[in-house]
Amino acid sequence: MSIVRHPGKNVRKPRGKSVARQDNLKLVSVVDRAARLMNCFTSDTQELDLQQMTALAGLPKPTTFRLLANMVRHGLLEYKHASGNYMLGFTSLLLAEALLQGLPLRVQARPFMEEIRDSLNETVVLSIKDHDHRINIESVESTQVITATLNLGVRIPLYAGAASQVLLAGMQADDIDAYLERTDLVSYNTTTLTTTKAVRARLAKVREQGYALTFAEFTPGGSAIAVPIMGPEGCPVGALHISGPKGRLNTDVQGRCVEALLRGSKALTEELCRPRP
Amino acid sequence: MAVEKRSFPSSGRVARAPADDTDTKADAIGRAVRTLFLFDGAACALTLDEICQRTKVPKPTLLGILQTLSHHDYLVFDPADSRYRLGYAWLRFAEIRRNQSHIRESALPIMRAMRDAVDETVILSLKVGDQRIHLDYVESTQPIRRRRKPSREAPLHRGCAGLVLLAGMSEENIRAYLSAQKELNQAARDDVLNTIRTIKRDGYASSSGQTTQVAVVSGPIKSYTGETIASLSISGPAERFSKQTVQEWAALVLEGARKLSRTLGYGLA
Repeated sequence: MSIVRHPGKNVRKPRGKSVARQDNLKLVSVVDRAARLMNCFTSDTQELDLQQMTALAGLPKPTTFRLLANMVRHGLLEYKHASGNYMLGFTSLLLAEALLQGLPLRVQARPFMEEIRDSLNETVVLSIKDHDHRINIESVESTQVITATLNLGVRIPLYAGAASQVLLAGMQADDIDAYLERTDLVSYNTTTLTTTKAVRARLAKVREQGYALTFAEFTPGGSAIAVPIMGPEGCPVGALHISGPKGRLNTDVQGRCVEALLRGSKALTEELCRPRP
Repeated sequence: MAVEKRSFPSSGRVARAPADDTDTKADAIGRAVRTLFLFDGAACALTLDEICQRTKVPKPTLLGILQTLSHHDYLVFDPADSRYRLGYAWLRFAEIRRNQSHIRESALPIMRAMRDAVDETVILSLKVGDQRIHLDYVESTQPIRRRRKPSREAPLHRGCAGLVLLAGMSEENIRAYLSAQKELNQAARDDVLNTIRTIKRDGYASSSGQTTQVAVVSGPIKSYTGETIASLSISGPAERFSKQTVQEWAALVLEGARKLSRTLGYGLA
């Protein structure tokens, strides 16, 4: 599920060089159109043909074709001659790689994540907080046939899901107040917490237990157990969570997950606090 | 910034060529892509001025591009330090794209062309941890030929297909790999290191098959990260193999491996 904000997605735009938005945002229309075409690709829609892209873009076919040709030229998209379909280009892999290079936590966390995965054979995910969202930045996958979807790079609100809640619980009290004040609590599933009272009660429980346990608050059918990763300054710099199908994470397994996660995050914190030469 | 001219084929005007404004300075998508590629591990956060300096795009135009990219989470602007960073949308796209890299599918036409050129068996092998496995075969049509065998694992240092994979690893990882191979004595390890040096010099591995009667030439397949992830080999009976054929096979293997690496994004940055 992608939480990309399109305030004016369905608004017919005046033609011209750039489009003024209500919040004084100036968008370059060609780049905006290209981005919207790229955003059409999801894990369920990995390939699209010209017809489909034209319909999705809401532009005349020649304009869409020209735009697509330009995007292919710059590696944003790839054109498959055999099927006549467009798909995401390698640019996305290269930029994701560049992005991850700027996130040293991922490299430092990796061995600890592998250790946790090896001990339980469940998918282990690393997330960080970016302003009002949680983003999953790395995963070490279970080798079991049925595993949870990962949603890497997707913006997930801080009130939904175990990893979000340990990150939110680690914030200053007045920052939490301000966050809850400005945030609409949208329901992704029947278990999503949609009142500030419920969120606050959950945060209190998370702080008391030292971990969060949720059922399908963001990903339907999934269950997650999360712990915070404390940084050198004593506040969370990220979260580690185990994500799996609800049926497999029974009470016994939950206990072992919590244990493994806490052990891993403690060791990772020690690593993060170690003075560097 | 390209102002789009609608040119319907029916309007009587000659339709403009699809990419005719892409080489001009005003190609906003090109500028956007160039901006995105400024960011890497060494420069993961840039100010407007730094981006302006490096892209040479006028500031007002650039600001529009940056805002558009930020609007879609392709970049993130942090008001705390007034810097732009790559946005998390790329992780989302990469996850989708990664699941679409079907090496086997991309390799098949290339492997067929190689087989047709020499009528010897072509093998695609994959690196899986410290092992290499033969993932796919395109067999020679000659009666005496290297035959498809059910995917067998072997340590990387045994056979050309694996040695090429080993040679693609970092010095540090090669050392770690060799010291983990308990059955190898020091002399055998030195042998492997010598072979790796030869492979690095030539770009391919070859074996005339004195002991096995199976001749092989293998070349490395690299992914978009530059990592050697697979190898492509031509293999046949040693009796059809000579000093001259090794050159011919090696040229084919290297060309095929280069093509396949390109479909995996190698060398596109």
